[in-house]
Amino acid sequence: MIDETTKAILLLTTYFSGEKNRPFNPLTPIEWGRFAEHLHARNFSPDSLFSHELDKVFEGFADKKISKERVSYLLGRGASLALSLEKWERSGIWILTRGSDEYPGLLKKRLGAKSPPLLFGYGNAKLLNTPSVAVVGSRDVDDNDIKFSRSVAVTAASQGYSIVSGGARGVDEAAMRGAIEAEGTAVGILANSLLRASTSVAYRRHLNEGNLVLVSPFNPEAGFSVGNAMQRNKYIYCMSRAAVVVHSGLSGGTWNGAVENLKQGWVPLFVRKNEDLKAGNTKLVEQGGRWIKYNPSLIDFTIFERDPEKEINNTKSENKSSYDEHKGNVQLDLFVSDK
Amino acid sequence: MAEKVVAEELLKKSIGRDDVSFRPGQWEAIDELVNNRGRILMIQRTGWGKSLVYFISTRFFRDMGVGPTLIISPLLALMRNQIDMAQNLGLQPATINSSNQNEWEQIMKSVSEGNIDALLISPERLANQQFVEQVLQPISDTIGLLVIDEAHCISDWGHDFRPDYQRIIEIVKRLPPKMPVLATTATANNRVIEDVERQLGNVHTLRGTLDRESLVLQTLRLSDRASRLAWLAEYIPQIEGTGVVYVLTRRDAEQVTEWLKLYGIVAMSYYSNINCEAFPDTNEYREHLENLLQSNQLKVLVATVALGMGYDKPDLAFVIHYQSPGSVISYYQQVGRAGRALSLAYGILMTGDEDENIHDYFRRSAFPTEEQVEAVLRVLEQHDGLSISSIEARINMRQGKIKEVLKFLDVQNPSPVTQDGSKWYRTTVQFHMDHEKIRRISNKREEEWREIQEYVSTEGCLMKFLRSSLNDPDADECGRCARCTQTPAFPVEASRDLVIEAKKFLKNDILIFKPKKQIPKGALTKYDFGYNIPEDLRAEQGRILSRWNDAGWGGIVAEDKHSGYFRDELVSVFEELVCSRWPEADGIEWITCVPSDTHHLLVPDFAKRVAVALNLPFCPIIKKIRRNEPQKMQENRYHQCKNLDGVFKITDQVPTGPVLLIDDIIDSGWTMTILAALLRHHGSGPVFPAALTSTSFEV
Repeated sequence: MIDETTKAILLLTTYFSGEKNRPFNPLTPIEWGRFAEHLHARNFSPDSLFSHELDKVFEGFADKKISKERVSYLLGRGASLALSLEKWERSGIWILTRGSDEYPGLLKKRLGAKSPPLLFGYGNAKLLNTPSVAVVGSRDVDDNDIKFSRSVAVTAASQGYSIVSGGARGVDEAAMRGAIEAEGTAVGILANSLLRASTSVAYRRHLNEGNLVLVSPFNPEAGFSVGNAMQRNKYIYCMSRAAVVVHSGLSGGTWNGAVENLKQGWVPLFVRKNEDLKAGNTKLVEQGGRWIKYNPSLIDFTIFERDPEKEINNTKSENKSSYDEHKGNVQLDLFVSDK
Repeated sequence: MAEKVVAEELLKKSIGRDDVSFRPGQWEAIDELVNNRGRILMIQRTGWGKSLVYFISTRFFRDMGVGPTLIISPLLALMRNQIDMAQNLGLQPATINSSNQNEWEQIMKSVSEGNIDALLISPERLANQQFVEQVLQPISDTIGLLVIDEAHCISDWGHDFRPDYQRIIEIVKRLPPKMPVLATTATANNRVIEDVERQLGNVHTLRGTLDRESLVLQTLRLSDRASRLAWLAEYIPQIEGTGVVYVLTRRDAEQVTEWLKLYGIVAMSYYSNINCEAFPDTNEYREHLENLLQSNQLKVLVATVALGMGYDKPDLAFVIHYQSPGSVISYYQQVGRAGRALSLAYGILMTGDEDENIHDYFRRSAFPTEEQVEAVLRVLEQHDGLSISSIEARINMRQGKIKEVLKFLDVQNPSPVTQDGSKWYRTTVQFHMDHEKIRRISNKREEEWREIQEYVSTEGCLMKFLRSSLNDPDADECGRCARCTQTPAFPVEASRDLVIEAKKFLKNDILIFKPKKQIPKGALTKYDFGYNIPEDLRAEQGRILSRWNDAGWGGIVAEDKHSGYFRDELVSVFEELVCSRWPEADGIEWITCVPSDTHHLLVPDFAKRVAVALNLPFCPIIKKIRRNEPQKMQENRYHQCKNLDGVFKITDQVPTGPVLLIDDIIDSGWTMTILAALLRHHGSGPVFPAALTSTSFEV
């Protein structure tokens, strides 16, 4: 049973289905971050919002976007909450807050107050804290890219890494399946239709067998939206130790996600060798990504275990300089196995 | 803040009188709901003023800027006095049910504009996913007070356990703190109360007396239906005023109504899904029937438990049970309707031999079996979503049963199934049938059945028995009932002549057979009748003499089927049926019958004798060319139809005139439908199906 704290966070941050002309929108992760900080500073736990006068809670908090009226309205959506929550829990869902043990530590570390307040999920939540490699790419790719995606996944799996991806068809699906079929594990961060995905023949068995977890920071019944997809892409990078872009366009989800990762310096970005002018792969390397010229089965992901600093010190300047060194032409031997 | 003084003003306003004050408990409930945002379980008899509590609370809430109240109730619509009360308080109520679907959009708009103060929906709506998503969810953001009527249904301790109420509980469990909830009921015993308290959590219970001072109780044990029918015809005219006769099945409702009409008693039937051509849907027709009784245009409404919940007619002069309900709570619920505003009213319980079987059937079919559940889950597991007809095509299970299984699974939380649009999906949730719970509920129901039977034969005060059974601490002798006065209000038996007439009536009560019009997709490949059977290939409406083993001819038919020869008496009845009670079949010119490979003489022999009696040629030209599974083992229309595909052939010249097509048993009706199409296809005139008995499903 969902506790009162989770109910409070749900009320404040989640869209329930249907309401068209809402006077106030739920808080964004960033807004929630600000409000949560204030609550924490004043020793109010989220569930105490139900018992305290809001006036008291808002003492000393003057945020233009987060007004008492807004919070009051959001907290008053009790019937809506109950209706949605009943349906979601009926489908077998679990919900994590930032305080939950299984909440992915890397997300908190890298995004801090901007990490998603809630994660809805199905399957083995423990996988959210296992070391993983992100594999991302376009939906419409050729057979070679599919094979490549799978190969990367199998290699990562054999070295003890989970694959984290977006669950979309094309690269995401190929990588996730590749990992599972090679007796590895996969983490899917979905931008939409999480509930439906949990019922699919393809995923259901694995969700129950413990080698797959599907999560989403959005309403489990949310439909596709470009904004949500972009947001979700961030999370894929942040949960991983390294990311592989198999195929990117010159714009769109994969492109934007990769560029942001390079800008923020979250994880090293590796790109499949593809000099096709219509693909964005080359441009990504120009901006700091590194080619994978070799057969993916030769990649050694454990390099990060050897040099943990590489992963934690991802302040912009640090990474920029290390990327500068290897910009474009210089082949990166970091990823070739010693064996 | 709600203050008592202000609440009292509102009370006066709502009733339109100055000389009223709160009954004990009413203000306490309002206070708890409005000032504490707490939860209340209110157990008070019909007419005490439960709606006053929630309407006055709503008025307070609305004045505080809180959103509208949601009332979950099986009532089809607010009663007249409730509407008046709401209006007097300046509240605008609205109802959403299946019969005003064309108004939903307007109502939703009104709610989101803040113009609706109380919204009434039925529990079935909450269990309807599409409704919740498209209608309820969009307007639920601001709901303030939640009212749950007939809250005893929440308890699964036997009695009135309804799956839809399970959904309600799951929803209530997930409400955040400080959302006020008012649960009300007129009937509950301690066990039920404890159960409801546990499920609602954190609730104050307010409980009143259950006494009904004007009610005069009596019980009658009359084994056969004929005796009871006779009793009704004899004594109802002697009772002044209007009332309700409760029955257990729809067929009984129709039968009793027909019978009463024969004796000039103005009666109509009432049961769920009852239809009438003049009304677009069943809810509207039911409301119409309720209004007829309310305005005393009917003497008797003959009803199943579908009439019930919340229905309140202050001057109901009698509640007579033709068959016994399953529990004391049900009985009290139903009989407690009588005499609210009268000085004298009658509550008479009759019980007969068939009651035991009917309740046994209800108990056995209350839950699906584990096999049935596994079968449905297995097929869903292998697909990414299936509609009900797709499931039907893949497993041999009645459509009704498939729906029942899905509903049973869907109200559990978590559930192994989920629905999206018209398709059902398998979730990641593991499923284990809770046999222990099912057994417990079943046992409880048996216990309750034994208890109501005890009531019938108890030697002490009847009212005291009922009230004690409901744990009313003030239960004592009523001084009015058949036991207390030693002189029952009515004689135990009706006149012999009436009983004989009733026996005849039951024997003559024949069933009408409506043939099918549509072939399930893909079921027939060898016969090609298309999807909609064209009119010139359809069978005419048929006649069936009895229900298998019933009180009319059904028992005799069952006996003779077993012994292998249908007696001549049945031939005479058939002859009489065709000649004097079936005008449409007047012009038949020949007779044929349905062949069987297992009992190949039984039916043709009977049909031949019928032909002789009617002086018409008998032409057994239908042959069975393929063996197939017994038709009665096919559980749904797809399989019933498929099982007949290519099985029959016409082997001779077909006469062109209208024909009587005879079989001993009609079950699903597909055999008759398909044979009629074959006969017509080969040039026969209109086909009139006729059978000795029906084993089809309806209760």
